[in-house]
Amino acid sequence: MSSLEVHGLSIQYGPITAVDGVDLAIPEHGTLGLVGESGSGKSTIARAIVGLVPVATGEVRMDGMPLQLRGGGARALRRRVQMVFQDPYSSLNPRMTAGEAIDEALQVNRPLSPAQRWDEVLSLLDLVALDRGAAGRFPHQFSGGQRQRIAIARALAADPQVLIADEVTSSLDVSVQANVLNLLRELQARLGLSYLFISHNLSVVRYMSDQVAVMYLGRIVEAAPTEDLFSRPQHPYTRALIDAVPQPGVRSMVRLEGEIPDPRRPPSGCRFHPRCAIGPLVRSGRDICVDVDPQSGTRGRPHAAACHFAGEVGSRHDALAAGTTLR
Amino acid sequence: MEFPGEGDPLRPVDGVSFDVGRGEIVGLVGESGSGKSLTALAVACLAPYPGRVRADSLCLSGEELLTLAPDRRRRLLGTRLAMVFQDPMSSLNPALRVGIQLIEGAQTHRHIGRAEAMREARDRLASVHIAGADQRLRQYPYEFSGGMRQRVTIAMGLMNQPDLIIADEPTTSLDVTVQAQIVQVLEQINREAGTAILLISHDLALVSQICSRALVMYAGRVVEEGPIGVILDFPAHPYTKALMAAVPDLRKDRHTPLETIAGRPPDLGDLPPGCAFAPRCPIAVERSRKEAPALEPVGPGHRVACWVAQEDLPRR
Repeated sequence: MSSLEVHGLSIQYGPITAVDGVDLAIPEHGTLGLVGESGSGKSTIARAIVGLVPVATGEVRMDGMPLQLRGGGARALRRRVQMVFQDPYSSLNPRMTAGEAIDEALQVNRPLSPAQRWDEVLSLLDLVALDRGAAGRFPHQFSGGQRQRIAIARALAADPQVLIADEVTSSLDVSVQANVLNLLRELQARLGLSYLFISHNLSVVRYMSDQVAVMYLGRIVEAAPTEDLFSRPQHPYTRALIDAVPQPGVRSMVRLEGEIPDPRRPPSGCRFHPRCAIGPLVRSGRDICVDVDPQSGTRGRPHAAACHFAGEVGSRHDALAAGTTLR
Repeated sequence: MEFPGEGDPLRPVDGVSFDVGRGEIVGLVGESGSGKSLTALAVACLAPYPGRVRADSLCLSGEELLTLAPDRRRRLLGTRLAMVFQDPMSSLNPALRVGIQLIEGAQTHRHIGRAEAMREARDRLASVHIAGADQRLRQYPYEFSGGMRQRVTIAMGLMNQPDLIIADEPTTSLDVTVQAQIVQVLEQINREAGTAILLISHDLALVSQICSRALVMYAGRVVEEGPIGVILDFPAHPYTKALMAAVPDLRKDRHTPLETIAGRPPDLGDLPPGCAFAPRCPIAVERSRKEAPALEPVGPGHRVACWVAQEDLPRR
């Protein structure tokens, strides 16, 4: 059962197809993690879902209803999807107290009297574990982690079903990050929320997600339940990402040279083929990677990898088990 | 390092001592506000105004920086030390071709000709794995990707064959695959040219990739120092332990909630009288709250500033 689904989503920025035919399903009361390097299109998907960028083709559905429809019904539906952004320094109005900021979100989204709204502000502050005195303070009086809690409270004010968290801990210190991640997990358990959790940090995504989708150059190249994806990655790009993550005392491996190619001129066939460790530049006879797009034929599988030679890559899991440590 | 404050001066770096041996890679780990970046700036005599650096000794390549005549100090810092900062776009001049920027230091400090300097620049770009160096030298920073720009700043640092590279969060703004490439380049430079590296990061896992020793800073002080294996496997300071437990990693059980550190780092203008970590510390004792512990040895090359750890460890 999924609460929010994305079907064949494409997003165009002028000549650039930033997102190209993406399918996603956010599990109900669960978390879909979305990882990829900068420029892969993950934030663009988030922004399209909440209507901040126009959708070229495709559809976003919530409980089976398309979100892009006009009119009151769709508006009420869209309210059920809220977003928390990366930078808590720019997402809060510096001239509004935390209480006013949360109250504003309540005014827009819920038919409550001023007194009821104030009660709700206080209970939202309780929910994100801020003291009630926070309501009267301005953003500059809070630390980064506290600001992110305010941003979360503000998103929760609309009583959402789905929360989109786009790099919400990327600008936070590691000790603060743990607090915010744990808070999001507690809120999910308590309120039955569904999350789309976007991050470039694989360890964080693994900690937060039930399902993970990996993006490369506007496409989903692999999607699977979290344990599967990390222990048995099938796409060489996923493997390269996992191997590059620094682990305490374990040497990370550079399997990927260069950087994401220019999205105005995506490579033919498989978009990853120029950098692929098992692709046509490394192994002979793999012309299919240059000629044929592997995207089709991945639909509906629990572990989908858009690769003609999916599963050929071993897992780092094995390497870790074999004890290849630095010391 | 001292900054004039309303009352007493603020000391974002206070009584920090360490050394980086020839050809050694040392990691300096801490969160924002720990003083790790200011420590690096102090070493490079780049303390931001109105900050003042005082030290018993600040020594680079055998020369005492604080007593050296200004022109000789400039020369020494310009040739023996290279700095690599977090954001390569802000360390490069957007209006100048990369080649010009690369050769500036060599021309200033070694007085070599432009053609010769350009030849060296080409070699340095190649050594950080930038292909087509001839053409690249004529390009502007905007024509490079983020990872490439960081390689350019590393190549720039290498122009005068420094003894020490201080890399302050060199990969923080980069993607994980590019981060791995940059770390590899730093390690290669260390291996091939014997350049010592001080790698500053908030990420202990990253630091552990290439360094042999690590220092952990909290609230302007070094709280623990030791061989990287000891720091990872037998951390003694409760802050080091808490920091490691708070970071998700690919081998931890993901269903177990991450451990968190209660409270927040202290305000530098209002440091507690004892150990700065005591208010957040699960094992703080009466003495921790009254008296600041000094960094004392608890094992070979392993030093820790914690009353409890100092009591426990030598007996183990």
